[in-house]
Amino acid sequence: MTLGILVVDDEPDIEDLFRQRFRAELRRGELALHFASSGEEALKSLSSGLQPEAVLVLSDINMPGMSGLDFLQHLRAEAPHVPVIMVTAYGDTENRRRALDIGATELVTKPVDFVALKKLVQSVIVQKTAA
Amino acid sequence: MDDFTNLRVSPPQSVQEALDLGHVYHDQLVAAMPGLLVHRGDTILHCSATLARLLGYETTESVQALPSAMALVPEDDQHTEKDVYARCLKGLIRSQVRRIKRHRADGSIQWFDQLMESVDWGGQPAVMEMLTLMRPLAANAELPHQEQLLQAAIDAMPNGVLMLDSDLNVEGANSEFYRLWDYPVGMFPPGTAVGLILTYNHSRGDYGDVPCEETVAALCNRFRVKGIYNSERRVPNGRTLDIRNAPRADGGYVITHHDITDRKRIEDELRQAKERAEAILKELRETQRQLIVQEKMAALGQLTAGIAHELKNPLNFVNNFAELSGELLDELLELLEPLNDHLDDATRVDVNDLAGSLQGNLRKIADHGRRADNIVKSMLAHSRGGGGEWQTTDLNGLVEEALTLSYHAFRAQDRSFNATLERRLDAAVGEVKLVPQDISRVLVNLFTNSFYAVRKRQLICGDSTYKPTLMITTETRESYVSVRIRDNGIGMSPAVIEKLFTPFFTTKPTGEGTGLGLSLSYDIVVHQHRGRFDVSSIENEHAEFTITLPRSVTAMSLGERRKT
Repeated sequence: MTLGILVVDDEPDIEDLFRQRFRAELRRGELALHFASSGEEALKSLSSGLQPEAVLVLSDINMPGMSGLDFLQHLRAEAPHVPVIMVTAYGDTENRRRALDIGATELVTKPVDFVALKKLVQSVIVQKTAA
Repeated sequence: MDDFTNLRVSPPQSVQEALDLGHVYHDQLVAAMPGLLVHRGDTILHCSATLARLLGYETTESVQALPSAMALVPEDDQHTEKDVYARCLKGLIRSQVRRIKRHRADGSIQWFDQLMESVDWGGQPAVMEMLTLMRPLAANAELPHQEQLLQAAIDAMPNGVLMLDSDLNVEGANSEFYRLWDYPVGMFPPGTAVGLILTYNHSRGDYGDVPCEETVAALCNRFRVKGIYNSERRVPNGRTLDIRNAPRADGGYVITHHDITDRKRIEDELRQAKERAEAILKELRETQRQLIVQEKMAALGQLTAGIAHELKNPLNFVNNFAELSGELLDELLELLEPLNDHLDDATRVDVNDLAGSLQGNLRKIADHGRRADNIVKSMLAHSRGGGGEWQTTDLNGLVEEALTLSYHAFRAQDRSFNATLERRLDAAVGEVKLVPQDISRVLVNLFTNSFYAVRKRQLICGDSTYKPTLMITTETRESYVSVRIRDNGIGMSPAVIEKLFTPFFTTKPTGEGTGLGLSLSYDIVVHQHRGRFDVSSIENEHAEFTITLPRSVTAMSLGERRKT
């Protein structure tokens, strides 16, 4: 079974980074990665239906246009069950509290610890497969 | 009352009555004498009718109603008279006549010749002043009418006047001169050598502990110089005089004494006011300089934090891709492994060589990326908001903890290092409200710098008797506490001290220091805690860092000021 993950970040090189970091999982066909460079784009592609469906969303907080927190709010209204992991450069308590209040599953700080992220993704995969 | 000789007196019937009569006679006699005033401290005990009349008062009661005998003394004579009265009460009596001034009831001045005695009044000593209207001196009484007029004229002058002939003998002087110098009346009649007057001055200690003959001779010579003899002098009555010498056509001299006490006082007041104003100006300039430095530091800190934020993301990519490239290269080499057999030896050597270089380069990129990452993290500490919490903290405990931590950390890197740690922690410092995390960071920073400085000096000088020493002092002063850290390390030049708190300034070799430690410490102490950061040092002798913190401060988080 292939699980879709949507990564929302305004940095285009994020795509290369994630594809290379998750190359083993991608090669094995466990994961499919979708990318969006803004909150608006992400909402659009989610509503148009991604294949395979995104079961996990990773979003940056500081982005031009719609901020990561605004995007999170919209997403919570439209797809309340999709887990969302917020990524931020500012590991301050204020951002963490707000993100968790709105309904983020987890908050990780940059630089992203991919070992930890992979474990997180694995646990989601395990849950989904079990379900 | 005046003519008491004609009073009818009944014969006394008892010893007591006889004694009373004796008292009456005594009182009557005292009343008829030239002005008589008895007083002690602020109380006027007795005033004779004659004196009341001489002073222009209606009754003796109105004199006795005055707040004190000093009320009669003109302002410029208060100093001497107080002194003279005090001496008299102690029984130190001067037998000579003094020439003095007193206020009359209408405020005008009356000259008197005064005799003074200590008397027993009601079982306690009191001052008895006998005042006679100034009489012409016996020597002057013989003068022809014209000269008597001249004497009256100079007596009326407000300045002291002394006239000397060409041989420096006294020709005459006015009452003011006698009063200013407090000379007994009649002691220096015309013909007296001025040297004798000066010798008298010396004998009563006017010139201090100096040889008599030389001093008198030198002063006599100055009388012969036209213009200024001794421009300023304090005289026994506590006034400052401007003494001038005007030679006369016949070879004599007129020495005038102007009372410049008031002018001097005003000058002194003006000078003091000027000095105060200058001190305040200096303080303002210093404050302004400090403010500019603070602003500069804040702006630099802000810039630093901004740069750090901007660098953080690209740096993450560099580090991530460097790491990934390493992994990818390993995978690539693994894939190509089977092909190695198809290569000739020379090519295989080249391939392995290139692959090795590539791996080496990627390791270097990762190493330097990590280094840059550490710098960025330190830079971000400048703008980190709301990290630490304000807590009432035992400052000595915090100092002790930071010291131990720094010492162990330093020794962990350099096993052969040892230092003497002298603690002078004042228990009175007690608890202070501060952000313990941040202050601890400042202290660790300062201790580590000190260890670095003493270690460096030890390694450079090679002197086995050199003892690396840190002295840590805590003190409390009113609303402030301070921590002073002094080391006997390599110290700093003034040029280094000047740039000490500038971000990225470091004296350590590239890669060893970020140059952000003291800049951040300054931010914490000065901006966050509203304290002071002082540095002093002599190269190759010592360096001393003092942080002063207010006991209570409005809680501020680091970087808060910048958000405005």
